[in-house]
Amino acid sequence: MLAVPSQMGVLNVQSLSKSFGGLRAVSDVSLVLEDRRIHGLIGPNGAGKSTMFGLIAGDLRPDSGAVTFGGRDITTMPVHERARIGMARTFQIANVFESMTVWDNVLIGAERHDNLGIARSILWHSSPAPSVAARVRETLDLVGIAELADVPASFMTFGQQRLLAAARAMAAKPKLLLLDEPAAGLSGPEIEALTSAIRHLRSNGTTVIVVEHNMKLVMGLCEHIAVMNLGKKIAEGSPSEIKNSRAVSEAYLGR
Amino acid sequence: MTASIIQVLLSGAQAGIIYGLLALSYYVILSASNILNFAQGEWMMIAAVSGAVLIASGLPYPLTILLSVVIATTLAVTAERLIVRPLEQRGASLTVVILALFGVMIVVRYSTALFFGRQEEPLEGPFGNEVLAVGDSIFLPVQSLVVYAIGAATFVGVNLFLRHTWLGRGLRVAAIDSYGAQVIGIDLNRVRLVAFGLGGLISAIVGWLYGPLYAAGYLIGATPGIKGFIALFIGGMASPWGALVGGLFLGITEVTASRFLPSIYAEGLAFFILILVFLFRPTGLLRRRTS
Amino acid sequence: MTTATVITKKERDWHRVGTTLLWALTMLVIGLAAALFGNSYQVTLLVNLAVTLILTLSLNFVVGYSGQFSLAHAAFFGVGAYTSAVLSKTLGVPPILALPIALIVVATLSTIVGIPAARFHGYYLAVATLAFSILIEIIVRQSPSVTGGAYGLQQIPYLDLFGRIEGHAYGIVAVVVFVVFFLAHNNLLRSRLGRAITAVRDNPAASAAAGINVMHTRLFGFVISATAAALAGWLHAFYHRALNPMLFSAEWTFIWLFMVLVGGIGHWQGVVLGTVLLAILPEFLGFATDQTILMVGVLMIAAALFAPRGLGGFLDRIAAKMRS
Repeated sequence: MLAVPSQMGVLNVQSLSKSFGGLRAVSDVSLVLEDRRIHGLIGPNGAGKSTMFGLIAGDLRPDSGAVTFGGRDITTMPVHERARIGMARTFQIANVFESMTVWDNVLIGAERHDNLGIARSILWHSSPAPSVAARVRETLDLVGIAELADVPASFMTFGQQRLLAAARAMAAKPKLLLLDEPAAGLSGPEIEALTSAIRHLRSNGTTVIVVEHNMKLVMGLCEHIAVMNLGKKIAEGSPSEIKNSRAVSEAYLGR
Repeated sequence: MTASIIQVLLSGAQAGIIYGLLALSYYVILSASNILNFAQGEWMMIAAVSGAVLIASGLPYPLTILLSVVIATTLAVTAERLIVRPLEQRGASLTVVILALFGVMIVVRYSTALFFGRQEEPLEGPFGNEVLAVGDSIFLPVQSLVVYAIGAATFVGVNLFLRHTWLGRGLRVAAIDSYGAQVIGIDLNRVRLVAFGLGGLISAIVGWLYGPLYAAGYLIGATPGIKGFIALFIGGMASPWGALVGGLFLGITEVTASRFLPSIYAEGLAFFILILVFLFRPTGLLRRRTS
Repeated sequence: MTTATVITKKERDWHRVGTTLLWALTMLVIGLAAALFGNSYQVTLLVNLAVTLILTLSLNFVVGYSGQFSLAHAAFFGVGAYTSAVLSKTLGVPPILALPIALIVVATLSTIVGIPAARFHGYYLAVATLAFSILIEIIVRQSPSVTGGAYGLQQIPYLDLFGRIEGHAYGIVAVVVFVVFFLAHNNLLRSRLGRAITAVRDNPAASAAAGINVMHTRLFGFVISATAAALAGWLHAFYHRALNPMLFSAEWTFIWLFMVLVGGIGHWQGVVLGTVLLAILPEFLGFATDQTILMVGVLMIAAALFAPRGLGGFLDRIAAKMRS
């Protein structure tokens, strides 16, 4: 993993703004995601977190501002290209490939899809490279669903599907992992497995940003937290700084 | 010159209304249940063929028309009850439903071929075969006037039903937001049944518009059936008027093409126009009203 | 736990290769036997079966695995057949060379159609591809100078591979062509691209998030299926050596779709079995009376109502029972 100078950060969000109709969902927000850190993005409902997530992930294009990834401007880059340069993400709904097995779901995340690979796919019987297969196995073990490898994803519980979706994103060994409310609907042990997987990934070079409502998870896992309210960034810092911040408690509790 | 233009417009409008009514019958079912019923053309055929049979057996017109329309509509409703409803309840995929309806189309068409033969019989309408002459170069069959009148009446009537009755409004939203529709108390099954019935009824009326102009036979539902949903897609599905717009556009363009261009272009024109519409204006010719 | 997953993965992979080879070998042996020892009626049946299998498997691919409801299949079959015929009869191209040319022609045509088509879903795609199919049929019928119009083309040259190929020899060619197609088809299904195609069908958003170009993948599924239909067209053209436009009227796509349904949409094993069962019936080979067409209609309704998962679903249930 390339070490990126920490001023630049792995991901740099500069003065992003996005409006829907007359509503300013994100208003001039800047953010730096530092290499190998676990970041959190929190805020009350309607703060603009989902919109921010969508702007970084590529689901949305900003009205103004820029997003740079490893020094590269990706503001208008399509979603699949962002994935190819090392960004992986999960969705608020699990979004698994229902007809495929758990193994194949994660395999798709682990494989590189830079090209179609037409000739290779038709001319001979191909199996995933051993290193890729090993990564799939590893990720399944990491997240704790290895014994379900042959089960079609549609037969999993809701919580298991969310873990599967996270596993698919993690199997890509991404430079940046974006998690959208990953703990929602998960049981205690499942959240444990998820957090230890996130930590493991971070120690292997992945930067993580988590959008979450689960305060316990965010305070326990994230090293740097940004807080949004009404489209603006109102605070950022370490968990203790955020916990003690007046601005943050006012945002959540109202004046 | 103006005479031929007027003639083309008149003939085009006549074809257009027929296409438009068929398009409307597809629309009604599509907007109530998200089903494109490939068999719609066959109800039209049944009305015409059973009409021909009943006339030949000596029944007076009013009874003939009523009976044949009832027969066609009943068949449509039966298809919904026996086939579509069970499929919907099992959550059948689009492919399966389309295949089933294609099967219905084949069954209706070829049963007719087997029981009444493959011949095409002329169907004389209650208003006769006279052709009126306007000036010395415009010819208007009486049946054309019937088409305009009944067509307009049907459009207005169905539109009123869709706008101003509880059931009609339910029909319009059921497919767009089936969950929301159920929340406000709309019974999807009932709405779909009514839609199939209404669609069958409209199609049956078309049988009595088309039959006297051309003929009655087992195949007459085939081409108009296809052109019916093509007209709907051309006009757009935002409102029932899309059906009329699409139908008129198709009808007038076809007649114009066959009058002024070599005949080889006329046959494929409808499909060509549809492809153009899909490429450049997929929502249809009629502008969506943002309500 | 790690050991368990290693075994599972290896076992699964072998099982997949084994299944494909087993099927391929079985079909090769039976097919060659039929080609060598069957009478001329049986050889004709065999060639038609090979053609139909390529058509149903490729239709199953685009509708089942790629999730695109294309009704244009008959058109690509027809264009493949007619291109091959016209090239060899009118332009003197050797039939063997007509194959790659016909494939390229149809691949190009289907790319042109497929690019806008990839934007459409459900009914829009079905209606658009249906309109295209009917339009092609009309164009072919209206161009008698090139295509022989409604009468079609006769006296198409023989396929020549170190000598004229007809009868039993053609039966062998048909079996070999089909088995090669079948192996390529299965290779594709097991490959990364095959996974990507199914992933796009299941969930385009998640696929894009994993780096898959949804548009390109969808387009490929459409084009490869059309190209396979063209292969079937070539195979058909040089055996029967006569073509007419009714051969690829849009209704045929529905007939093949019905065979796919009976086999199980998205289930190649079922589709192979279903096609073999049905393609033996003359109804599906173009000789149909009103009664038999009526019966097909009834069968379509029955299949939709009572066996929507087809033979494939039935096989699945057996496999599930055996596993437990």
